Amino acid sequence: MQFWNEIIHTALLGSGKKQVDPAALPSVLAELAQQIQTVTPDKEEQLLQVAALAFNYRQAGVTALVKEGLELSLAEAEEKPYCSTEAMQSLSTLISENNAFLLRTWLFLCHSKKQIVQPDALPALLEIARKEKTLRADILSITGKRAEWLGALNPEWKFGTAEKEEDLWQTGSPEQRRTLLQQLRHTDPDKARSLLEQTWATEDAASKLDLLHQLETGISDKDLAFLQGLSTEKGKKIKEEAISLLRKIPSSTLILDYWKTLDSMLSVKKESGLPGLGNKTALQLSAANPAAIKALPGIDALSNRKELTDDEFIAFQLMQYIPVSFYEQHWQLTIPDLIALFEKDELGKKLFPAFILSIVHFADQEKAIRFMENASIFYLDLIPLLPADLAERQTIKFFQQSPDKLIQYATQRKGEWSLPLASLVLQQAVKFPYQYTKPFFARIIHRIPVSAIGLLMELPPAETLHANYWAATREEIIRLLHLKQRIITAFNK
Amino acid sequence: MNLTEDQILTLAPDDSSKKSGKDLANPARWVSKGISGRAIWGECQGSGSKPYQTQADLINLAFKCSCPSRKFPCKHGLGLLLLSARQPAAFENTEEPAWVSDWINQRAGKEEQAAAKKESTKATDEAGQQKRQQTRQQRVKDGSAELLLWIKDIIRNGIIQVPDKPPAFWENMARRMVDAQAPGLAGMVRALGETPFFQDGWHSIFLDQLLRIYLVITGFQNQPGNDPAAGNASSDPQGDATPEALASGASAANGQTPSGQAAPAGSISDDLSSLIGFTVNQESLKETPGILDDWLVLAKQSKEDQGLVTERFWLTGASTGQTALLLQFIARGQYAALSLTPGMNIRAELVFFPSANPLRALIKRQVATAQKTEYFSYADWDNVLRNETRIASTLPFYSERPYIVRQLTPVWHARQWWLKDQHQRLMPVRQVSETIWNVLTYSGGLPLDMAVLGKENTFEPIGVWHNNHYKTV
Repeated sequence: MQFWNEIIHTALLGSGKKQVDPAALPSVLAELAQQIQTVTPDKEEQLLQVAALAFNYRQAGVTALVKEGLELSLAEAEEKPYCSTEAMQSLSTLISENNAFLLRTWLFLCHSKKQIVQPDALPALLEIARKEKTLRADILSITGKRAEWLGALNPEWKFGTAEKEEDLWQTGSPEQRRTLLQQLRHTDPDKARSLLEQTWATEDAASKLDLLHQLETGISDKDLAFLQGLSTEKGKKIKEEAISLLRKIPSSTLILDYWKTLDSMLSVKKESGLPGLGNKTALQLSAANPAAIKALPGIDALSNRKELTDDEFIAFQLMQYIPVSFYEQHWQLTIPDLIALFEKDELGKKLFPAFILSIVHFADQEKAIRFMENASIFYLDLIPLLPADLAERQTIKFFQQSPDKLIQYATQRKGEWSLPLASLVLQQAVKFPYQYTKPFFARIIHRIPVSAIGLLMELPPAETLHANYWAATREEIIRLLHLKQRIITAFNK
Repeated sequence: MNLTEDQILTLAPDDSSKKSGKDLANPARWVSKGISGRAIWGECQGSGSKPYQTQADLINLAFKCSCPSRKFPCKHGLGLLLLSARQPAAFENTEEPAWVSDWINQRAGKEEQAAAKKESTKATDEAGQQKRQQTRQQRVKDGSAELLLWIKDIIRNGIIQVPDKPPAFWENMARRMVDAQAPGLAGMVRALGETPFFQDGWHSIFLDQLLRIYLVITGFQNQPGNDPAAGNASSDPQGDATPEALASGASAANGQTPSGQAAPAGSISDDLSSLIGFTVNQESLKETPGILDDWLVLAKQSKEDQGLVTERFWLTGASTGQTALLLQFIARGQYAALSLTPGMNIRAELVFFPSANPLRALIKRQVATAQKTEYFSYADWDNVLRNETRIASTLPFYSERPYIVRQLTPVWHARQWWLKDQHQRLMPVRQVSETIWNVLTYSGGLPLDMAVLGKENTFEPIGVWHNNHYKTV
């Protein structure tokens, strides 16, 4: 469209400086332009008339571009059936409400029924997958071949296979590298550590700290050499992070040093009892060697708890990083014996909570169960380590002791709660409606069974002051539960 | 009425109504419900002691509810329709209760009353009207002369300096046009000032709009007798609420009539009048013969400006192939008279605003909701462009319009998306937005019958036929 460029060029400069050159116009326009320029004295009018003529000539004479052989590859045929229209309707609601928690339920049900989403919702779901990494795998499990095809056309929707891990590690953004390391620590922790080792010397201090922190996932003996080698690092925070990670590995020199120190301080003393009653065992704590404690990283020599002396405090700190299995091996005590020893002894009673902290520190489920079975006191902090059904029973049993803490633990478990537990949580919400609000229930609605709808109708009313607030929350919970019911029904048809 | 859930939700006035409407699409919330050939109704238990009586006219979609909500349709109306879409079996076909039949009959009665009223109000002060017309005519003439001078100043100095002009430069001239009783020209000047000066190729966009204004002014000045108010045009303030909207592209024409009855073509004077801002009396217009057809709602566009929502509905007729643009203006707190949603089929008689290429229309009467049917479509881009050429030959300042084109395939070429027809002819997609990804999702690389909106050499997909269903994109 050379002629239109000539018009634009003239208009840019203005009729005061330039006039359209008829020679630059197509012959049919050139002739008319010459006539206009001859009969119209006004330069502005001349330009406007010629331009108006060219404008309509341009828009009336458009032709389509002819280009042979331009084709898109075809999307492969789907192998799985599409989900129902009802399921699509509930999905549409979830997407429009941005309800990630019920969306996860929807995705799970769709995947478990071996179905895929109809094309209508693909762009919206792929956008969610792009933004919400935690939902990405679930979304990609139900988007089928069409999404793979779209991913090949839109780089933003090309997930997973985008780049080789090594390339991404070398050239990715800090967030991409962190995500890669996180993912690899779940699937191939050695490879993740190996990548970090390769580039460690070239990383800056902030990246070192950030990436090192990701090693907590999947940590094992194999990470020892790398982590212990970090003792020469200049950065204080990096060294502290390395120590924190070494504390998670029972075979690390650090833990062994902790044990040696503790073993030298704390011992089991056998005392002769009355004739016929056998020997009596008691715990004995000797004074710590100040030089040895000072050499141990992460242990304070002075107590900050008034019920513990300095030596007891040192022993307590050491115990919380020493696996319970060490006592079984070195002191030749079974778990029931160990518990009995500490529960009977005055010093042992003070130090006993350190066992619980150690079990939580090493996430030792087996010891958590053994302590739950044998200790005279149940420690609520063990609940997150228990298998789901056991954790739920214990939560219900001890709910009234610390409802808020147990609700928090319950929200972190996977799967749906039983109706009795849901009932306890809802009753707590009636009492404290400003604490358990609509956003809270939106986050945990996938945990509440649909059958709780009936229960909600029967719950006693909140105090007058809170009645309206709770009524609004209850309405929202019921609405979300109805939506959940629709999702479940749609996939069970 | 076969509306899908998504179509019903597009009727909602806001997101909270959508959410509440979905909650109410639950049989447990309805004390009673029923359906007849012309209405659907239900009683919804709300917070009051008596349930709300909610009803919808299924022939000429409209809602009524006894709830105090000022939203329209209210959440109960939406909930009722959503429930009928989800569980049609839950509605028993039964006799209408009195509160439903009264309302439906009243609606029919109102139309007759309105017709009767029209007859009685025809009388009037024709001499006074004539005088007012002449005064306005003179003001517009003076105003357009002033605008032409302003345009010439821009052209003399060169448009290269235009992006540096302050907003007042455009607004002052727009106000002058309002004073000159040419609100359409005011809108065109404002649109000129809103040219995207930061965008590549702004020169061409700006010059196009400048030339449109120039053509309208000179067209108006060169009319025989210079009488834009002749014919159907009138200055009735009750007629057409926003002539500025017309000027920004609402009024123009399409005479493409592949078969059946065409909208009667007016003259270019009609278009000049409406673009300048002379309004057409809608009641008079409704008395003219219309086109009865099955109309498919291809798309709905909404825009809010200073509390006024402008809705544009693009329609196509099944047997006539006529395309139509319905405009609806909703001030805050006002009810929307039109309840149309993309993908909806209606059997209705439309009357078209006079134009050399009629496009803008009004619903004269809606007979029923229609069933899905076949619609006229263009075989390829050449046919679309031939129609564009025909329109440009009669109306140089025409605006965008919809086309249904058969078997278009999206393709990527020269760093942009194009739509390829069956004869390997390509047309660029106007803008790369989520629209193209929706098209690709349905296409999977295969050609689709597609509705596009645009003009000249750029078009934007607005809907596709996927598995024989029309889907908006």
